[in-house]
Amino acid sequence: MRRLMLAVAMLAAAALPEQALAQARKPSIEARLQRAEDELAIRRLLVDYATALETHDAEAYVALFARNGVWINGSMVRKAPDEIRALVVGMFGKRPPDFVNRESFELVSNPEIDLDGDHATVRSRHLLFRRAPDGSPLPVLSGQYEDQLIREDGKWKFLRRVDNPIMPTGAEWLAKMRARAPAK
Amino acid sequence: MLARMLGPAGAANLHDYHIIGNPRIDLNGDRATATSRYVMVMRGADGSPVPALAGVYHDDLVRLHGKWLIKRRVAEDIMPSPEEWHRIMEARRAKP
Repeated sequence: MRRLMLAVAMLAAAALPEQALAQARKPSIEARLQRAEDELAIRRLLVDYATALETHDAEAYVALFARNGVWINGSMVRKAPDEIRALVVGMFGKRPPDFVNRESFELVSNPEIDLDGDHATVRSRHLLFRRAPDGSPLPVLSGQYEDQLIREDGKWKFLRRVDNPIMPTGAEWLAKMRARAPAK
Repeated sequence: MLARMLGPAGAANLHDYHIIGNPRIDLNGDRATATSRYVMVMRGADGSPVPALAGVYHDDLVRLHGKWLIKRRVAEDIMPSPEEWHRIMEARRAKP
């Protein structure tokens, strides 16, 4: 028993310098504030992406990607601004200047942000709603984003965004889209 | 409990997820209380996402060794109620 108490006391003594070290290792206020600002900026980036999709704004969408940015969904891979622009212009078509989207919106949620200097690894969820025939919001597609971000010219950008459709799966979604598309 | 509910670790879950929102956090030193909302979305018959269960989490949190951990979490199902949810799950299990 006595030996055990001695061991406990030694452990407690050994823990003290560890605590002091932890205190010394605590990042500066500036470093902590930078992390908080980075995390806020990244949360905003996730929302801006959804907004660009909702408003069919191809230029705003492209501007969220890094110069070497890559967008991936299943076997579809689009690299750098030109390919990414072509993708969304093809998806959105020509946007009238007074365009207001009453047909769909994206709800983004559950951001998990791991910062590493000028890089970050991020996961988040999205849920796409469409307007049902009676006007009510109908959830039609949910997925998970897996992102590699980079700080480029002082701004957080997508270096690699992987969009994993989950409900329905990518194959199911494509089949639905084909069924929706007007017959040619 | 979780091992039985969740199945093998690391397997991709294509059947449900939780949207979490509306965090309200009251800090008190190394302790905190919080409430937040959840909506569990489940895969529907045609693969589309269907909101299946919504509720409120009531949490007691504690900071241990510099990390925030859940001390106590109460999940209060609102829509449907626990009784309604139980009936829905029973009906689902009864299906061949």
